[in-house]
Amino acid sequence: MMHKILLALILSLCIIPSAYADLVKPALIEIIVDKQGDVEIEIRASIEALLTGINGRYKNTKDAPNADEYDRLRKMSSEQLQPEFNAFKEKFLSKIFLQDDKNRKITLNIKEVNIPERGYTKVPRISLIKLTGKVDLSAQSVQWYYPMSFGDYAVRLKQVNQAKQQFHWSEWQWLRKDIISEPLSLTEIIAQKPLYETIGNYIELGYKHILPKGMDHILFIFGLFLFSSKFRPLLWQITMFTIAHTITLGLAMNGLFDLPERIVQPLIALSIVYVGVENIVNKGLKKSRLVLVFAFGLLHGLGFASMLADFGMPDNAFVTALISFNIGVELGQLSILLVAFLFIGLVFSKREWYKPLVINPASLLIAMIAFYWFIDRLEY
Amino acid sequence: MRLFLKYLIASCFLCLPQIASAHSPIKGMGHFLNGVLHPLLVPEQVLLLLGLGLFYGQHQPNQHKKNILYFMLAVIIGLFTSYFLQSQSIDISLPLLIIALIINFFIIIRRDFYPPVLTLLMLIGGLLLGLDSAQAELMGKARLVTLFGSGIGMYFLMIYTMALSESFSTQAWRIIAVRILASWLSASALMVLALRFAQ
Repeated sequence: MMHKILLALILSLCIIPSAYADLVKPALIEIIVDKQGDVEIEIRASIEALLTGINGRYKNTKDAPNADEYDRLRKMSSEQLQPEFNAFKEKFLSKIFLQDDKNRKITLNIKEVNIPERGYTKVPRISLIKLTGKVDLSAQSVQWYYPMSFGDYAVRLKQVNQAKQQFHWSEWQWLRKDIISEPLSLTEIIAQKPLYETIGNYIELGYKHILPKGMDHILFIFGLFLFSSKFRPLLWQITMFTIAHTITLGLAMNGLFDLPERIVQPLIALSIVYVGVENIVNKGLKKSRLVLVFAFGLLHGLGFASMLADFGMPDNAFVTALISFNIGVELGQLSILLVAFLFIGLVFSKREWYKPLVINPASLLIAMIAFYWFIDRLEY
Repeated sequence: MRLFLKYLIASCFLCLPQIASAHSPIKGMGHFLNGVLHPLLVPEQVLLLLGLGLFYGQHQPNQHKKNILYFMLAVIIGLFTSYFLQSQSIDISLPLLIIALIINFFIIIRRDFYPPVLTLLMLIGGLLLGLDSAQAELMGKARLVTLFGSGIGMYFLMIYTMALSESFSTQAWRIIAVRILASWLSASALMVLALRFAQ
């Protein structure tokens, strides 16, 4: 039985070239304004994505029309990519702007571009673009515009009083539409967002990380469901998975534990392969399965953490944001289970042919897709 | 509890018409969903898949699981062949309709097939269904994703019908209901065949 499954997995390498799992992450933009009106803007984004017009609307970079060009740029060293961006600078500056409350555009110049050396190619290389400008001292607030063609982004502003050695960060504003940001105040200590808004934002973020963006997590949860749609084994597995990913998510976000993505991502794919294969070969819930699900949960927690770290955490509500994100993830998982129960468990689970005609083919398909991901994520 | 679940499922079905549109509201899922819906939109495919589902549901599916898996294997081979075929010179719909007619006819008369004949029908039917699924206007990855969706759509259409038919295989009046449904499918297949010949 086992060798047949392995053969099927190897064959899958040839027959599912459509299963990828890369996506472009939102840009993070920080605007720093001091008492003299000097402005410094730091943009953390994928320059390769900017140059090719690939943005967050593509669930996978390979879905984009310029996917080949993106991959070509992605393989370049930082020295090779620099001239490519230099040719794009003028266009880049013409598309973004910062304006004050009297609608006066602030002239921006590119001060510096830091492109890191290419690392693990399955996650976007995040470069730092520094802009400078000067805001009129009479300005009360500023608004930032970054076109949607460059992708989703989050922006925040830092007020700096150098004389008093004080500074204050505003809350992050996440923009997913082609609109200008809300005004960012320059004159007063910016009011903190109400707690419910932070909770709502991070629950939404956690939920969306699972549905629809987290295809690997969807397959993992669906794999757990297929093993047994009975309440008790499912509850045990989900509980183990949840406890485990909560532990590593918390540790990683506090900077206490981390693993490079080049290790975590292939292992996550491998965990899905394991779940798919075990669904076919094993019949009952054993302790070893629970231990493995727990271990896989630890890995998936690191995957969640890397995503959450990209968005940043509010300094004043770190724990609240972390718990809210986790709740969002749980709600996403429960949604998958509910849909799977309604459309598969309820209809088929009592039937004699449930295992040979539903569990086995679906688990094999899951294992094949995940095995492809595993090989794909090993690439550098 | 069961009543609650029934209401919950009914509520879910109310949401379906929104999802089943030609252009998927889910970003990046358009080609896949189009593929899933494709078997539902091609008359000869619906008639054959519903017929197969009804047939197996009436004849203890657990004993026919090998045939069903052979059928899916043939579908997969057909789908991959159609991925590489740029155009089809043969009209596949005709043999598909004939197979659909035969299967549905056997449900009406409540007869099982001689096993090798059934296996052969499954293999030919599956292969033809796969070959009939390519959408000429799509190329490359979009074509592959659509075909993948079609495979999933076909399988689920068949096993949902099979599950329903199996539930209708115990009492006499339920069996009659399935036979009436099969007769409608046969009539539809005949009508489509007649129209094809008339053209």
